[in-house]
Amino acid sequence: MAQRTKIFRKRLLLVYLVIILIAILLNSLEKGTKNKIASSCVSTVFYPFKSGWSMMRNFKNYREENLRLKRELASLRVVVDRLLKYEKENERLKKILNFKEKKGVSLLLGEIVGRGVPRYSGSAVVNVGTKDGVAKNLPAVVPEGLVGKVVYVNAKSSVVQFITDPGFRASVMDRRSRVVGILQPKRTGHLIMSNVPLTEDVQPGDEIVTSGLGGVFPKGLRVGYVVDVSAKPDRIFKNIEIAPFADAAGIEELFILLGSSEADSL
Amino acid sequence: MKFLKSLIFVVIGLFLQLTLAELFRIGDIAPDILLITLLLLALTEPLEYLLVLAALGGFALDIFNPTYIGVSVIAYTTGAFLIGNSRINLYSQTHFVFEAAVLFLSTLVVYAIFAVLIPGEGRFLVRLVDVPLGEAFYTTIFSIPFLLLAGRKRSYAA
Repeated sequence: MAQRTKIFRKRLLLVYLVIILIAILLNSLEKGTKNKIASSCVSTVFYPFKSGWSMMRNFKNYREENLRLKRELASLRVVVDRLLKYEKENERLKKILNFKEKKGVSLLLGEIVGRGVPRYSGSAVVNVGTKDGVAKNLPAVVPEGLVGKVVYVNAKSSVVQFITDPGFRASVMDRRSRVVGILQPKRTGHLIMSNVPLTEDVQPGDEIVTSGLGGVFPKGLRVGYVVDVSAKPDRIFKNIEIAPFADAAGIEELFILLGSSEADSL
Repeated sequence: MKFLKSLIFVVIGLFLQLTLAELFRIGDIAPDILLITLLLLALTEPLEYLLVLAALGGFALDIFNPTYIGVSVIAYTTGAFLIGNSRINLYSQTHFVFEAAVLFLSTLVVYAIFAVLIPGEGRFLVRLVDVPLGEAFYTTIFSIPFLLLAGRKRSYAA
C-alpha cells in the first residue's frame, strides 16, 4: 500500500514538474509571441462563449430595435399611403391641366367639397361661386366629357347637378348621324336618349354629344356612347341606352365651363 | 469522458471566477472560485486530472493578461499539487474542516506565487503576506457552503 502511494506520488510530481516546465517556457517567450498565443486562444477557444454572451446581451437591444422598426414601418405606411394619394391626385391634375391647355377655353377648376345635396340627390357642392364667375346653368365638365350643370350658386360655392341625377335633362345628338334627342338618366347609372323616332339612324357605339339646343349647354360637349338600341313596333320612339364618358361618382374636381357658348371643339 | 466532465466543471468554475467572484470583491480581495472548484474536483476525480485541469484553468486566466502568461499556470498547478498531496495524506479524516484548511494553505501559496512572480507596488514582504492571507481567508470562508454540500459525494478516487 505504501509502495503504491509512493509510486502515485512520484507520478503526480512528474506531471506537476512537466506542467511547471511548460509554464516557465511560456513565461520566458517574447512579448509578441505571448500576445500572439493569447489572441489566437481567445479567438478560437473563447469565441463561442464570447458570441453567446454578446448575443444574450444584445437580445434586449434586438427587442428594442424590433419595436422601433415596427413603429417606423407603421409611420412609413402612413407616408406611403399619403404619397400614393398625392400620386393619384398629381395624375388627375396633370390630366385636367392637359385638358385645359388643349381645349383653350375658359374653364374654372372647382373642387368637390360635398355630395348629395337635398333635392338633387345626384349632385355635389364645389368650392367656387359667383365671386369666381360661376353662374346658374353653366356646364360642368371633366376631361372625359360633360358631367353636369350648375343649379345653385353662392358667393363662394355652388351646386352641380350631375347627368345621373333623376331631374337632369339635356338636348343631345348623335355625332355621326346628327339625330337629336333628350338626354335623361336611368337608374342603372346609364343614360337614355329619348324622343328619337323609330325611323332615325342611331347605332350602338355612336358618340353622343350636346346639341346646343335649349341654350344651356354649348354644342358638341361629349356625353357618352350608345350601348344599346331597341325598337318595339308598337312604339313611336326608339329606346337608346347611353353609357356616360364621365363617372360622376368618382370625380374629385371638375371644371365649370365659363366662357363658351359654342363648344364644338370640346 | 470523466475528464470531459471535469473540464466542464472547471469551465463553469472559470466562468464564475470571471463573473460571480467580482460581485463578492472586497477591495483587492475576491474569492478564488477556480481553487474551490479544484478542491471539489479533488474529492472525486483522479489527481493527474486535477493537475492538468489546474494548468488549463490557469492558462485560461493567463490569456487575459499575456504579459505574465504561465504565471497562473504555475500558481494554480502548485495549488492543485498541494491539494492532491494533502488528499493523499490528510483526507482520510473526511471532515470538511481539513479540506477547508487545505484550501486555506493552497490559496495562500497560490497568491504568494502571484506576489513573487508579478511585480507590484509596495513592499515585497507586505505584498507577500497581505493579499495572500486575505485571499486565503476569504476563499476559505466562501467555500464552506460548497464543502458542506459536497460532503456526501466524496469518493477519493486515486
